[in-house]
Amino acid sequence: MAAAARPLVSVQPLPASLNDMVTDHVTTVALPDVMKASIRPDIVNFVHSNISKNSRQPYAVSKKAGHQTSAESWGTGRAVSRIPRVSGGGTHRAGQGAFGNMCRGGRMFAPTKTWRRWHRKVNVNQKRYAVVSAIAASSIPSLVMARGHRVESVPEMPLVISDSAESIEKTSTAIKVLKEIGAYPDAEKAKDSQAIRPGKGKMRNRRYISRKGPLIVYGTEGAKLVKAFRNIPGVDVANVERLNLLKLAPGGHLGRFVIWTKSAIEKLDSIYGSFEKCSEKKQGYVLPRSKMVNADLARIINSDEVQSVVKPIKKEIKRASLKKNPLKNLNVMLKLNPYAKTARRMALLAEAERVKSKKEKLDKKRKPVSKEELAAAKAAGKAWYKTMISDSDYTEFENFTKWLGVSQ
Amino acid sequence: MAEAEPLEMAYISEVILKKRKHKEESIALTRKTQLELGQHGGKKRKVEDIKRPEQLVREFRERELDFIRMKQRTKRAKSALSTPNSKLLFVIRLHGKNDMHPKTRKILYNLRLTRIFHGVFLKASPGVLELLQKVEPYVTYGYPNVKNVSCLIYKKGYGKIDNKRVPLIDNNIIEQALGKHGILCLEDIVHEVANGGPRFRETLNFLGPFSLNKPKEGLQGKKALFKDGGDTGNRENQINDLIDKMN
Repeated sequence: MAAAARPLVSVQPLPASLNDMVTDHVTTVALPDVMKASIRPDIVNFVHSNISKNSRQPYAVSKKAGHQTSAESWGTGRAVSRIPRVSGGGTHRAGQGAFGNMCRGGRMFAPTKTWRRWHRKVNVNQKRYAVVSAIAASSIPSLVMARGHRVESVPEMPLVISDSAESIEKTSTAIKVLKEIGAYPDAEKAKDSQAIRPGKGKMRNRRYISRKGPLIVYGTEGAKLVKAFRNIPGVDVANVERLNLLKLAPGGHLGRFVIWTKSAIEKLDSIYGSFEKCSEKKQGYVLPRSKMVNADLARIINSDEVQSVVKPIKKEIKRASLKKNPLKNLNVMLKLNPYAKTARRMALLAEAERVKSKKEKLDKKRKPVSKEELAAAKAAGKAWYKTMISDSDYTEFENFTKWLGVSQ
Repeated sequence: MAEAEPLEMAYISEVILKKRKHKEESIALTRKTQLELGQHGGKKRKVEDIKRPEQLVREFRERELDFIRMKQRTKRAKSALSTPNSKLLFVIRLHGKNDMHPKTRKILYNLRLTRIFHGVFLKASPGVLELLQKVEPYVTYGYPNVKNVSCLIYKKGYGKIDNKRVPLIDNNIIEQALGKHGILCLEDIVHEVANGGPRFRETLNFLGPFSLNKPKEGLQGKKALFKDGGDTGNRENQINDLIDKMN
């Protein structure tokens, strides 16, 4: 059954010296299903803000205020503004402006009315959802600490004490009990925080403010502990059958520190039911279902059921290869065309060869001629001249001798 | 002192390293200059971006005129087209997509010239020449020489494998794709394209369109024909100068 699957909460025993009852063994209670409901701060905030409007008392200005004059406008032509002015004479009031919200002694803009909608209606299911959420949040130590309660010395959350507490009559005993169970630092904090309210509230019957301490929830009707605990500053008392959201989540913030008695926590199951079973006290009410039963994403992803059908990780990601220019990069060129190496080498050699031969040719032409060569060239020239003037086989020899005046 | 197994060196591909370096250096710099100049990334919706009805009408009319001009071009004398100098043509798309009739756009799409400054090799058949005549104001074409064919394919050659554009950096890629036609390496492709071998068509189909750089001072910027001082149309051997600038 679901109750057997629920974790067990141990009931804190109270010392025998306080009461005549002797509690030997530590008993346990199964965690009620309410404490496992989904925690919805948005619903709690909405319901709280609407429910807290319901205890308001109406306020309004007098409906006659500002109109108890017979003022009339003077009209144009008198060098004054056209606001209605008080008629008559003989007092300061005569001739002053009246009726407007800008006038001194006039009525206000939009006078407040008593028939303003003061109270808000909230759906019953939403109200129950909020209470259930608040109860669930009160069992989570981190939320309670986040709300600001001093629960470091509390032995267990949710904190359950034995029913012998319900018959406590003296406040001094109540304080001793709180100290026993580790709830006193929270009550102490509330006592230390008592201060005068800043602002006009202090003269409007809201003089003192203080923090909230623990909330004691009891199970049996007419338990004496109400009177014992109610005078401790910060401590509130509530019957489990009439839990108030304004007490469970003060200010709309989840996680009030709640101290349950054993009979109270045993009644919770019958009051609120479970996720499948209807509640006995609230007709047809079933605890609200959450959108995700298991909200632990990391655990779901790493579970066997998911991991067994998931595709394996792609370690070998194929990326686009970078294209390198073969015309500039020799290695890439050789990869594509190995002959390019020899072709290029041969081209280079041929170029070198061409350069060399051209250079040789030019050098030869530009080289300065040596003396012997020069003398030899000159001598060859002279010899040819001599043959020219002496060679009689030459056709124009006669003319030539006369012309040059050369004698043989 | 127990020594743990030496960790494998993590090989990060060069593309990623280059991207990171580029991101750090130049993008940061451009952001800085953008901030200084007061320009921010992202297109602002200006009033001028909203199209006015006059503009829409004008665009439609321009497109219709373009279509009419195309039809007139096809009616011109076709005698000059049937005698090209060489078998290989290189076609470069020169103009953008505004004022283009959808039929003209479709022709360019069929020729695989989908973007401005894209180039393709084509066989100089009469059918192709007729198509080029139709889209004349948007392309220029000519007869590339062997050196340019080789340079284009080496520098900007991409193959089409599985409808994906794969860079030709290894002869294995070419062998796998065209091995059955007897083309095993990049030089084979160059030879096939330049000299019109038996598998000319398949090779041209395998080679994707070449995305060329924009020529720094190459074009006149006019839609007139090349012989009239513009850019477009057949420029025969002058295409080689243009390819040199755009490669």
